[in-house]
Amino acid sequence: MIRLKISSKVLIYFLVIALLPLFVVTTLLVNSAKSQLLDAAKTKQQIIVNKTAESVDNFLADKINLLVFQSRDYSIRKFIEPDSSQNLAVLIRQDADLEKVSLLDPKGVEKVAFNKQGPVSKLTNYSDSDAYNAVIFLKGREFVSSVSYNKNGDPLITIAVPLLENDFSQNLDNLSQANLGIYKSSDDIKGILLANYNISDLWQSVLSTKIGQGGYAYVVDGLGNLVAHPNKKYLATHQKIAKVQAVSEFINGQEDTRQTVSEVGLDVISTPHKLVHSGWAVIVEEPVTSVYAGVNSFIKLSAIIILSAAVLSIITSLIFRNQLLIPIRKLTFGAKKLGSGDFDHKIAINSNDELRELATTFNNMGLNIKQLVSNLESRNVHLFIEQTKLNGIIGSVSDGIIALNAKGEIVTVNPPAAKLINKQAAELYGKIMTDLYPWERESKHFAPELQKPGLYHYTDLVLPRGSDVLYLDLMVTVIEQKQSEVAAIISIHDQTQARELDYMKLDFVAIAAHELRTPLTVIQGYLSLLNADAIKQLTIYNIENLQKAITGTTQLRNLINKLLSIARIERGEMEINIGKLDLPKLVKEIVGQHATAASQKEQRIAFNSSVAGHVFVPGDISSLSEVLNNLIGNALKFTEAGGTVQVNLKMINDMVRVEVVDDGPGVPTELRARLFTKFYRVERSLIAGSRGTGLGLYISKTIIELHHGKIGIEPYTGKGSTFYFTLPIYDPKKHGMLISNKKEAGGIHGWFKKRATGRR
Amino acid sequence: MAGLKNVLLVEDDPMIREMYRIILVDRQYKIEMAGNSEELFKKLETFHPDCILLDVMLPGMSGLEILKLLRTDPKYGCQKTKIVILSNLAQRSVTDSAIELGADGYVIKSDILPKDLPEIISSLED
Repeated sequence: MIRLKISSKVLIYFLVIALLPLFVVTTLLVNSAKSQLLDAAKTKQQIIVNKTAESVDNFLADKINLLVFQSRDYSIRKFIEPDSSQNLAVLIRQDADLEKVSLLDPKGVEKVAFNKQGPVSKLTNYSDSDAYNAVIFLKGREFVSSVSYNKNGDPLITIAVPLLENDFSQNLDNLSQANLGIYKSSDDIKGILLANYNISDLWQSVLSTKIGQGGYAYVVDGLGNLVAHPNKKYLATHQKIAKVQAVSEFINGQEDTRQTVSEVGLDVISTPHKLVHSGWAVIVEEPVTSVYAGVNSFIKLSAIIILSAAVLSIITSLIFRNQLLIPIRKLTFGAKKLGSGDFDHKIAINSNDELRELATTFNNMGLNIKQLVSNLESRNVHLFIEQTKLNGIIGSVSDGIIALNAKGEIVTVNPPAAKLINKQAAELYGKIMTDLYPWERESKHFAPELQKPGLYHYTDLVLPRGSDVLYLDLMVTVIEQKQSEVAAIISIHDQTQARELDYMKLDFVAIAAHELRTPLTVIQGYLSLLNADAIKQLTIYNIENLQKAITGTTQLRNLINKLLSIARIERGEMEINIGKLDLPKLVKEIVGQHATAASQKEQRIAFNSSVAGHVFVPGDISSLSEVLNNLIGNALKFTEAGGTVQVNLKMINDMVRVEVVDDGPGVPTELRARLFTKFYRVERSLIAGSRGTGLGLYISKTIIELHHGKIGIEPYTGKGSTFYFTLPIYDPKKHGMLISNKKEAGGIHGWFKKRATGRR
Repeated sequence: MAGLKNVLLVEDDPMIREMYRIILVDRQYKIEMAGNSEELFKKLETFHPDCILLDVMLPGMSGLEILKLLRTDPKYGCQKTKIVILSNLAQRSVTDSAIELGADGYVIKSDILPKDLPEIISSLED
């Protein structure tokens, strides 16, 4: 498109530059030539028209003068024969143009007539003729008729001269005018001399007039009737041509040379000239084309020159265009190549001008772009690799990952996160995360922090999915929002399976415990029967053995029960049955139970209470018994023979505190942190050869915390250790409700008619 | 009530059954025994216990299913009879179900000795 435009523009410029002056000059020249030709034509026409008019006027004047002269002749005036006949015969003989001459009486009746052949015997009455009436009408002046044509087509005119009473005061210079002074009335007209002329010769001279090429002369009368015309056929059919412009102008008195339109519609230069004796006009006309014929050759020459100039311009413009366009095309092609990524394309322009400069700039630009693009590409590749890596990481981690923007809409989500709500990752983009994930925690709707920057860790969240629930841990990173698209990243760890595994493990523990308990029941049952029935028959040695077997089964039972407690704690099923419990009484009782065993190891155990009487706590008797048994049992276990274990009970504000103090080796500080955790066991205990798992302290901690109390160990002082727990003191307002819902624990087993959650 | 003397022990393990029988007979209880639900229902046609000691893990119908039947179906005549679950299962789900189905007590077998059994039965007395 551009190429075409430029080439046509160039062409137009060249044509304008080359042809316009040429055209202007030519036009000016042609115009000046035309005006010169026109002037020449005008001059020529005037000369010709004058000459022609003069010849016609002279012709008519000669004829009229001759007739007027004859009309003064006495014999003629007086119709005296044979003199008048002789005069007429001489007249017709001497004038070749005269075809007929007649002498009319005042009534218009022919008296004498002659033609070329001689006297005319058949006389005519002219009283109705134009000539006769005109002469009467003209008051003594001669009459020249219009032209008529005989059967040979020869032009004829009639000239009539009145015969007046003559006083002979003749003015021979102007005979026709001379008559005017004589005429007084129509009675003065004594007769008429009528002459018919064949004016072929005159016409021949008029009509043969040629003006330039195609110019001609013709004659009209004062009424616009065509008198003579070179084209006789035309003459025959168009008698009246008053409407022709030149003719009408003549009738209106104009006699200038001017451009008019001819009777056939041609542009013509015409000059009319009025004739003196007839009131006619000679009009010469020359077609404009004929007038300007001389210019035509000049115009032709000019046209050839202009055409040549145009052709030259076109050729030059083509050459120039190629000079201009080929580099431009190269540039265009180069730009397209560049656009399509071919940055190595070089534009070769050899012309030593701005275009080469442009090409050089262009080539340099290509090089720069290539470098830029290759930089960008390598960065892109790098980015792509990073992106792929990142996508790979996000996509392949088993944890769900969701990235949110500031509006809480999902901008990135990996398949595991989408799978949590049974969706495809692609479906989730742009949706609000909290609408899709109805988090719950402890059966209530849960909304993770998404606004305040920081790192948040949420555990034990639940996400309902159909009839199932998922157990999830959430790690939420809320980013300080500047211009980052990502406002928060949520990492979701699905704990459901792990939890199910845990439950399976715990179920297994429960089932295993059941399976162990059955033979244990049998063993300890029959041992007890044996102990009761056969004791009298056994030796002391066998009784001791039997007791050891019973102790072993008791320990086995405790172990199994502890395992079950742990299982319950782990499942969150550990519950206590709160009752109004006299704590000093319980402590004293438990201490008493251990006294026998302690004395056997030569250990002392003592109970000291700073409170006299009852101290009630809201507590579960079996659970708290277990705690006391545990703490006292441990203390005895780690106390060497001869050592002392003290159990102290104190009031501290609204709490009651129970301490179990031993003088064993103590628990090193570094081990304390783990002391109350599952399966922890002080290593020293292995050395001491004592049995027991670390389960007791963990279970005790859980029980005390369920009682809204605290359990702990006093700081290490190098020797001995002090374990303690505190419990709130019973307050009927606070704790009454807890108890009224439940029956008082019945019997030593505590499993009756209530939710069986505690244990012995 | 002048003591719950007619005891029906539902227990599939013969050694445990024998162990409890020994002690209860020794303490003057009238005791009948069944190893499964069929035996139990048959026994109930002729024997009207004051107290049923019911194991959970039984061949065929489980102790909890038996408990439900005894408590809901009047034809066994046991809707008011004292029923103590005697099992080594200690899961919350089991103990909760037992209480809900109308057990008067739940005792872990390994937690008691045979001699504790009369005390448990007498604790049921209103």
